[in-house]
Amino acid sequence: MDIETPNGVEFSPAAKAYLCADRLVQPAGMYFGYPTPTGVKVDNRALSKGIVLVTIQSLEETGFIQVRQEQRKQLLGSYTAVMVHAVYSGAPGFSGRFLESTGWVDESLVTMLTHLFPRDQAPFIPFLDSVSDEFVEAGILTRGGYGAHGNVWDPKWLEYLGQALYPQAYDLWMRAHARADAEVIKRNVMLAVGMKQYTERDDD
Amino acid sequence: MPYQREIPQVHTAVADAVMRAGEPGETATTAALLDLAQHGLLTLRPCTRVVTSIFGATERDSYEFVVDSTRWKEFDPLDQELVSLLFTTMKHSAAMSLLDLRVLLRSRESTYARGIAAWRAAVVARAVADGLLEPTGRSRTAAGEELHGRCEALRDYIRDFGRLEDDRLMSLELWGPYLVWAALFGLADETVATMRPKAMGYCDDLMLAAETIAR
Repeated sequence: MDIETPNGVEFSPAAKAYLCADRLVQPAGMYFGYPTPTGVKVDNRALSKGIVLVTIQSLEETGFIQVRQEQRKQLLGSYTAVMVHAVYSGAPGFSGRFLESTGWVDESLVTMLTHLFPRDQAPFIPFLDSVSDEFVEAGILTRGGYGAHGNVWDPKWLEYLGQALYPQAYDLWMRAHARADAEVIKRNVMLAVGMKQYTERDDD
Repeated sequence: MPYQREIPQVHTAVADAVMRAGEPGETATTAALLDLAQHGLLTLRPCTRVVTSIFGATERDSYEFVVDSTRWKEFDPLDQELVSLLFTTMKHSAAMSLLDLRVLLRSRESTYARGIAAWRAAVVARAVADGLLEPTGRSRTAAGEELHGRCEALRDYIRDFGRLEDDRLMSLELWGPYLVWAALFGLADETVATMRPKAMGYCDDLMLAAETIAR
């Protein structure tokens, strides 16, 4: 059965994972907790990594991207970089932004994510906020403040989509985490975060 | 002019621009929305919203305006611009609760400020085109002075007789248009407070909305 969406809009796998995050990601406390639409706080690091993983998994499955690995030198050592070759444009929502972040050349995942993560003390939080933009565009979310605080949701759509999208979100989430290169992708995510994170040293 | 009971046949925002000599105020937006609701171009209905925070999610009761897009051509161009700003640009939806509106005014402050400044400029331009303000948009013409006098007389009437203590049911039917103008004159709070015990059904919803927006 087709799943209804507001005005027939197509949500990206990232947005679906965001919506169902309370059932996909482990709960977290005040420090790393990010309020999901249902109010349950989940680990913002696990959710962000999962969102990158499901995006790569879905784009690769649908032929939008091809992924390979290569060794990259960094200072005295080296790391394994995930390289992304974007084939087509036109993916919905966050997937489209992910494709655009390649600049339409073969690009490393770390560089792409530095385009997607804002410079912030905790880049995961505004990154997750940006994933929810699709629901703002669909008219079912009114954004409150930083970190999903004060977000106002249409309860009928929230409940319906949360139930209807969960099976496919769960399935994709599991397949994405079972990828052979899942740990490499997660390490690349953390490298990108390290490049975009800063600390205000106001206690010197 | 002592009192006037007749509602001027002019857009409330234009009347506000004339009364304030080219600078429509905050209440013009509230009055315009209530006027649309009064004419059935916006439907007002109770709703709930889920609000998330670090402490969890809570359900809150609110009221939502729903644009009747099938009657879009009946909207005054000024109302079309205001509705486009609030519903299309800011909310991305034809339904917007008062809770959404309050959050949007905070979270998208600069977008609202730019949009509402453009809308106010359009209101002043309409007042100039209608011959109510001088071309500079900062002083009233003779026709503008006459409208100003009528609006002040209506404001005095609502302020002094807004309780509508006689013939209650008939008063309630007639109350909608006056509430729109009461909101424009900044009298909505006190008139709503006095009318609340007598109000019922849709009229009550409209008054509650006026109270919420004004707050």
